[in-house]
Amino acid sequence: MNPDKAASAGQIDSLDEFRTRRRLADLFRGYEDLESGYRESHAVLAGRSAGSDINAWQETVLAMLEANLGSSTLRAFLAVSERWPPGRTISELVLLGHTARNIGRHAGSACARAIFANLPVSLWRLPQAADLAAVLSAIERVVEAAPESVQLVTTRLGSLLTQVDAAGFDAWVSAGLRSCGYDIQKRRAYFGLDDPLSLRLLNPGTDNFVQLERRLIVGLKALWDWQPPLRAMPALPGAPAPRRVSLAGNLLRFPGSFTGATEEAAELLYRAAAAHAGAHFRYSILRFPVGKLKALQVALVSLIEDARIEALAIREMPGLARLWLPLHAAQPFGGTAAPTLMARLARALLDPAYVDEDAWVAKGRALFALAQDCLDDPAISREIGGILGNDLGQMRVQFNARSYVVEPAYRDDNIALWDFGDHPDILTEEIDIVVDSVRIERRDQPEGGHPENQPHSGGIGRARYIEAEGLEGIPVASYPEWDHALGLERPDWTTVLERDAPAWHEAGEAFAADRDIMRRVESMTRRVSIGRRIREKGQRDGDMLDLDACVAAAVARRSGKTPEDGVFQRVTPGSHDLDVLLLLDLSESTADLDGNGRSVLAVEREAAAILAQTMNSAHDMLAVHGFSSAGRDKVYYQRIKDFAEPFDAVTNARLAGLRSSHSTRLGAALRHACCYLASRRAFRRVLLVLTDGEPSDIDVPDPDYLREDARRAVLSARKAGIDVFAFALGDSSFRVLDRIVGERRILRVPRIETLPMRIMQLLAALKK
Amino acid sequence: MSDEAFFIDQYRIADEPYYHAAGNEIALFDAAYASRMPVMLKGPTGCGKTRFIEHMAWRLDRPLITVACHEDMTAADLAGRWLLDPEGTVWRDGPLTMAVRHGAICYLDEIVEARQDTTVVIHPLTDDRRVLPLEKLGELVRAHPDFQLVISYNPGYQSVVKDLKESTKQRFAALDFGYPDATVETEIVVREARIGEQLARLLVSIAERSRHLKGHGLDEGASTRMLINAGRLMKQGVNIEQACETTLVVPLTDDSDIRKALRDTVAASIP
Repeated sequence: MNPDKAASAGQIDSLDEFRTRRRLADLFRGYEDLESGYRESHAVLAGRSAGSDINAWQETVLAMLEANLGSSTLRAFLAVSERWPPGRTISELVLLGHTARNIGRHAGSACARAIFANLPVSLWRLPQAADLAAVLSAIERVVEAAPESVQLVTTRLGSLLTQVDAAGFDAWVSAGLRSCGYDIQKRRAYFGLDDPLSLRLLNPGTDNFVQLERRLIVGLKALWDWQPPLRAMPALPGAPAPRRVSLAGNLLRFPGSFTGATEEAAELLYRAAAAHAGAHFRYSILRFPVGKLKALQVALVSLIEDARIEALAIREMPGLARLWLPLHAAQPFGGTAAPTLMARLARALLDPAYVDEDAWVAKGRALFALAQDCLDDPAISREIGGILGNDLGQMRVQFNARSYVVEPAYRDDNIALWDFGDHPDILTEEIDIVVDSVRIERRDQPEGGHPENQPHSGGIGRARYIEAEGLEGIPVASYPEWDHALGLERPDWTTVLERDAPAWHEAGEAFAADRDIMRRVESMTRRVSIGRRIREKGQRDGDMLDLDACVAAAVARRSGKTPEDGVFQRVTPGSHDLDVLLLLDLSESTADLDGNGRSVLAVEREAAAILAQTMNSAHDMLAVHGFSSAGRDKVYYQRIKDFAEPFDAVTNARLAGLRSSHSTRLGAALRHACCYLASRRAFRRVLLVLTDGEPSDIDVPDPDYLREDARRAVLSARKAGIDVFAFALGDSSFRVLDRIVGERRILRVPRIETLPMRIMQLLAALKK
Repeated sequence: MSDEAFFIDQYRIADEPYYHAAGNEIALFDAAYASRMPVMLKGPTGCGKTRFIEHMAWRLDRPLITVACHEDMTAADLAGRWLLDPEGTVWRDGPLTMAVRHGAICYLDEIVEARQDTTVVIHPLTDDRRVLPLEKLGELVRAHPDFQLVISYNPGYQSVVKDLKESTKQRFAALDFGYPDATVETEIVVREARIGEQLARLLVSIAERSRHLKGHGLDEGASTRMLINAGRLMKQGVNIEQACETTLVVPLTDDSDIRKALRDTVAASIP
């Protein structure tokens, strides 16, 4: 019996369709419930779409049957088909079916069923067909490369897709496969969400602040022309979570999250807080000395100052009222504790429509209104706040300085307004905060800023680093070394131990290149197409006539045929092929700080990111490797990024994990790097060395020995057709580097800011 | 020849293009034209460079031939090329050659976009020789006495690979164009968009804030032209937020964080 006779009555089937139906009929024999399920799904789908889609679907059903995935799997697919949302195409359903079938064949039918169970509910997260395809292909990659982890992924599919979208899921899978390599344990940990990198990639911004940070930074610059350093104040275990923005110490510090706020509410809070801080920046021009003021008066002066700056800001940018007003929730009743009254006063000063009958609030309002003509003068805050504070004191209103928090939540703690001097009556809380900010200030200065210079407080961090150090690498090659004194090459003299650079997983300390610099690089490389010129003949348009084509056209015309119209030739930019291997010196001396307090290693990381971005825009291939050495038997070589790998979170994690140690046996590293380049087939192969100077090693007393050996290595590289350039960081003369690579192949980089320009110049010159 | 003369006449500007002087640029250009000195107009996009040169061309009663430069432009696009027609080959003058022959002002807009092997074509025209060699034609065209070369140059989009050679830059007298000050800019917006002064002033204040972002997320802040567009939309009944969104936020950047920040800025500025 033909299962779909009803639907296709009157249609002429192709032979394939006919065969499909016959085959299905055969397979369904004996499985009436499956067959009826099939018919129902078919009916639903046929009502929605044209013939070819349905046939594809039928073939998918057939394929699934023939793959022997079991009746429950097929039933699951049929159920999904029947309930397939009208907004999605049948071809997406077919893709889902096919992929699930492939997955089922390689990883078991349970996985296929898991996909049918978990993917359809997440379809809203995958609005485009391409998103669905991306997720399915990512799962297939897991099937192929990490079959033991497939079930971990498919069972969690629903919750994974609530955390990331299709692109995020794809990136998460790719990063996992790349960073775990062949290690099954690591893969299971990663895909089982038991790995910090895995979690970090799934939660790119659970911290509300982190997601908004850039928007806030740009907003502050636009509205106030102000660029303060922004910091998040994380909630540390054991300490009370920071609840208010702080402007102390010339930093703008935000709580990592505002407790109890939904995501939407948090966004408004952060924006309002940033705007309020901006208003302080513009209008709070002097600090009030605490003098003999009591805590309550301090709080009130701060409150009036808040009102003053907001009023001034609204005069200039009226829309800010709409940002701040909704966040004032005070109501004109409810007790006489100081915080409540103060919240009501705050609202009364901002909101002319707010009605409050309390005498004190009304007095505050009146005083503020009188001062409208001299709002520019901060002294009025001191005056009005002092009066109101006195009043509250006389009314014996309760005020607990320790537990007081500024309301509403978007306003800052106002510590930055006050000059505490040496006042002995300072509230301990405020001392803590001040001291804390000073401590933080010091920590934020360059010397203290980098993970490698800070003592690791977390035992986990230290343990991981040592573990990585323990893995020295696998001996992969040995190279000769040139002895300049004897004038001969010693064969098999050095041994290179190679490994992948370990990734640094600590949350919050991931390496990310300086945004301003990266943006400059991006704008410099945009729309640049530097490459060889290619002459194209026989074109319809061009600046020169292609004589051969012209002659042919003339001949054609005279003999009565239609001439070809491609009679021009033009010269166009050719394909870009440049292979660059960036070799980073990872020796101990790279921990030294340059004039700006940045370590050489930090500059090297930045250079790698800049180079990757520059070349990314110009479609070329980049590899990043690092080296150090401890004697001729141990030349450590680390692969941070290979040519084919993308420059992504994993690469950044590896860059963050680089540490300065040991010595600089440059020649051996150069030779090993050249092996990588020798096998490449680009138009031009370039070795870029980033080193801070002298090659040296623990077993070599003669300072010239390694220098000459490095020079020799460079010469043989040149003979092999590989260009070698070196970056000279800082202002020193670098005569050593001159000797090694030649004066004309040194790129002087006095400051990191000039690095992008230098790199672009080099690439432009190389492409000529 | 008369065909070409007619062709050139099409480039004459009949009605006065409105231009509000910011400084003494009109007098300076008059003086430069008196000796047919090549002139470079420097400034960010949307600041009135093109409007200025149109105004001057009208004022001086010269035809104005404008060429929008781009990376794929070749020397032949400027000077001319051979074409193939049923009779054989025929030479067609390019816009630069037309201006040179017939005494028009040739305005090369955004000249940095063109490759350096293209821009070198203008060199013989910018010194005392005032000639244009056309090797493919075998002709040395001497410039008409009324011919003048004007180029525009946006210093903001600098890149190592795309920049004018020093030797080229130094042949020109340069006039600086920037955003006009707030009062002048308001007047321009009022006039060009035909909206009220208060609204125009509001738009100008929004633009000023967006210009803080130059180099901090945007290549350029909002230009005067964008404000005029916003004003025109508002005149048609579009509300100010939507007008700013369409003419400022969306064209200025594709970055979602910066777009949100710009929207916040617009929201904060409007009452």
